[in-house]
Amino acid sequence: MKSRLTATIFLCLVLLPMAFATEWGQIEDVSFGVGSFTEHINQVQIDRAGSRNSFDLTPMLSANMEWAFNESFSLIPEFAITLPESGRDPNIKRFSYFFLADGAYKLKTESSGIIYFLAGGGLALKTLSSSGGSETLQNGTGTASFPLPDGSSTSRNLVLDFGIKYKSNYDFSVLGKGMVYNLSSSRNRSFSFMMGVNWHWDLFADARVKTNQRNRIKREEKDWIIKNK
Amino acid sequence: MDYKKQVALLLMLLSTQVWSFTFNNSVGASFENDEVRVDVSNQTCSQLGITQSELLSLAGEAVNIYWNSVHTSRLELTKGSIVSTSSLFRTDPICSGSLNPCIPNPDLIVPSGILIACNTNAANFASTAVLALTVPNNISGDKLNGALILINDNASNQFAGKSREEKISILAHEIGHAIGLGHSPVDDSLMFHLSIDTRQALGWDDIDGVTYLYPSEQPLGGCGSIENQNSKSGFLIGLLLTFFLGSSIRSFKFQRPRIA
Repeated sequence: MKSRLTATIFLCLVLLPMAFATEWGQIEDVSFGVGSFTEHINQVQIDRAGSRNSFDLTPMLSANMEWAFNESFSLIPEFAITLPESGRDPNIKRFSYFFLADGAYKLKTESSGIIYFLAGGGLALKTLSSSGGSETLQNGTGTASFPLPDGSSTSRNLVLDFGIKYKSNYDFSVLGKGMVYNLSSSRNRSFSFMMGVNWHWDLFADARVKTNQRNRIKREEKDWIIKNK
Repeated sequence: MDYKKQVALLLMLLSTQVWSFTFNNSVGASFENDEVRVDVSNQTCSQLGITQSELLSLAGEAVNIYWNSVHTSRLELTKGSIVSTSSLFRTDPICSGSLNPCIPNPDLIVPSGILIACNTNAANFASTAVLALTVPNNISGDKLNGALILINDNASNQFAGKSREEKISILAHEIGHAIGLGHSPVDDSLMFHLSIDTRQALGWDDIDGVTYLYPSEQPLGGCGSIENQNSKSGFLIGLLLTFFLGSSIRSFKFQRPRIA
């Protein structure tokens, strides 16, 4: 039931706008970013004294595309991945990756930058892998050999996300985004956070100019027809 | 440019975190079901100073505070009940022969789920420092069917003198073994070999270990409600309806928005 609810919210927030996006709008720009990812905020013990995690700096790369419906609203699909990291045992590797799609409300500021208010959802995946072997560790009053995992395992979670982005006139933006895992479950609901800097490339500027011209001509033709009826 | 300086600063701040977790069996066995019960034996715990009901209550808190909180894991441990068991669970060794390697005692096989019992056998607890022992003693291939946790109930046990919070974390540690995890080499993790009185939450090793063995499989699998309620078809119908709704709305004549 909880999963169905999460899936339904996911569908409404992500797939429905995407269905519209294929009919309307156009690509505003493409951007690539670097940042950091903090997982499980305040839920992980990080030292013997009992402190919990607040802010991690797990390196992250991202790529996204802005699909503008109009001056105020956009859809921004995004792929992000944390850099694979080695464990205390160098054989254990771990990384997370995300497929997200955010709706964005854009607010132009007086300094002519743009503030984006973001909300959406997607899929968060985490892969853990190791090539096997064993580790001798303390066990009771002696030691024992404990096997290490041999293979990989990937977890998948639907997530809802919300955030804010400021895009300056210099083709870069700064972004902060929170993610909610298992929204409908009080048992293991969790919050994560990503922040970063993105560089934007207006790869489709020429195409957009042509589309705008074509749309303007169509509108003018339509207005002319209505006016002369 | 200013933003180049910002990136340089960001890169300087990046750090690499470290993890390590182990299993307690060579096949990486795990429970097949997403939901696993934790029961308590009805055999008395005469030296622990707590009743079976209290022990069950501690076990319930242990699973909720620790293992059930992992967002990337599909495993849900549930507080079971006090179940009737043979008196051998109180008196017998957990292994036939030595503890390492352990050949599970056939008289103490747990048919399903996790069973906690108090035990006084000297072979199990050669030292008073050993608070508890756990053996996943019912494994078929890589499938874990049952696991047994024995709490040291000898007169000189150190479990009884621990605070309530530490008792909960000790039980959570043993439940970690019962679901297939081995020890972690670092003291910020619950699966570290020693009990620490400042334990409050799982560490990274614990989270990665339970995620590896029991990865969440949203949106179509993993959550018991989807599988058990046969709602996979419901989800697909929802998917189709969403696209149908999207297509229907699109078929209306909207004024194409102006793009600057």
